Amino acid sequence: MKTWRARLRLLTLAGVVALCLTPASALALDIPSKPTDIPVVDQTSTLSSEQKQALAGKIAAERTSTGNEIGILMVKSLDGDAIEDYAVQVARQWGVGQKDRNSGVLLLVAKDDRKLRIEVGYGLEGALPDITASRIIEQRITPEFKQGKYYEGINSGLDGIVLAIHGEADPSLGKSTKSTSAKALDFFGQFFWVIFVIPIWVGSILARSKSWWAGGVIGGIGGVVVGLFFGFLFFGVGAIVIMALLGLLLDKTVSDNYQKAASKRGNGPPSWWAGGPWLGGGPGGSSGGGFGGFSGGSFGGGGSSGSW
Amino acid sequence: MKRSKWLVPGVIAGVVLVLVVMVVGGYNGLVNQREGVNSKFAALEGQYQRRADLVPNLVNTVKGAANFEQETLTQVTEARAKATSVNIDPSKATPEQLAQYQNSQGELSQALGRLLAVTENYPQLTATQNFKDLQTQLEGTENRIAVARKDYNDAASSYNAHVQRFPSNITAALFGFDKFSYFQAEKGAENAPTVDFGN
Repeated sequence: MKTWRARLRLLTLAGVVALCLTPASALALDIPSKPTDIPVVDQTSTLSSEQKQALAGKIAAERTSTGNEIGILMVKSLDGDAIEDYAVQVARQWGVGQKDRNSGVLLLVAKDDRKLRIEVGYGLEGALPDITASRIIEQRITPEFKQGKYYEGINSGLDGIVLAIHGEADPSLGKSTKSTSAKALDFFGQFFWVIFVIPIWVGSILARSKSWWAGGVIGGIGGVVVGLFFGFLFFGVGAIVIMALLGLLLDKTVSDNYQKAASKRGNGPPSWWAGGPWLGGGPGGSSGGGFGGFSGGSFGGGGSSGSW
Repeated sequence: MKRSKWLVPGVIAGVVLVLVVMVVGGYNGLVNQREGVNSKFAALEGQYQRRADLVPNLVNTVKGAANFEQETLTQVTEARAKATSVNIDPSKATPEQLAQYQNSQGELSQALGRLLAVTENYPQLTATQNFKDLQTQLEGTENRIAVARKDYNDAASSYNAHVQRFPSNITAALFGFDKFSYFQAEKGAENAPTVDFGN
């Protein structure tokens, strides 16, 4: 009977939280900064460093084999916040889970409040539905917590979470991924026309044309196109100015060159040192080894809460 | 001589181009943001729908319990029917229409709250795994609704600020980008549903 009252209160509390809809809902409790060295944060000094390392080892193993990320946070008290509200904000701010798959789970324990929650990322709600999360809490974690065995409870809960989500793996894992240089080559191949052929063609026309300003206009139009593509206001304006100037310079140079070549020997080919915008700077490689922080997964309130 | 002849039109063309890009860029930014708010609202609708889908299951499970209060069940079913019948387009809804939508969903929340409170009188029912699972799912859905509503309000607030700020307010006024309405805190929501066990 009592548990139903408690559950109902929890439900109502979640509703009340939902209704306190100031745009940036303020939490009483600060969100701890993103962990970078170990995904297990214990503000209650309950776990020994060996225990934290053991949990982190299991989390790392799951991450390497499936790409799923798990975070563990123990706080003393929620200072009156609803655990649902606090959990989702911590999980989002930490970014537990891969960004494209939202494959993260956060286990939050509020020790003095005797409350806990498993918060499940969007991408794992199918593998770890609320009912499963609730069973993990009731069957694996709270029986241990009731006896004061916090590490045992968390460890068993972590096993339960891994068991549930292990089948849900990143499909790109295990396949040979292309190296950064290969990707750059692909990119180059796609934009070969843009990089080489169009500037040569435009350059040759500009060189033959009498005008010196057409290049500026074409550059400006290019800037408009860039601006439209990217949609950033200031980026677009900047692109117009820069590309118009470059266009002017290009037109001036090729026109001068063409005239020189033409005056030297009848109908020489247009100079094609038009060049082109070299697209440099590929994406940086991911850092290997160690935990290195979570990957930016998002959450929508999935999971389950419990108390002991 | 020839150069100065083209200088003035060139400068004018340049200024016009800059203006066009500013307007188009601002327009596209507003469209993207508006779609963002719309998708947040769609996510919220999805969660409301998910809750509505759970209700028949819950009602059927509870019905099985001997002599379960018919009135509470009827209220839930009616509130569900009402909640699923109200649909709005958030980008065109007035604050009153949004409030009406919110009220119809709020009534279902309260009816469900009453139902769950009444089930406490039926220990044989609440002890079943089926009921416990439904309860967990309902809790989870309520929580997702809370998150989705906050996300919608946050997105709408950022979009509304964009619509009102200079210089994007010019583009917004030019192309008729309106502000979105917010979900408001409900009156009496801070009180847990009261159950009258008397009579």
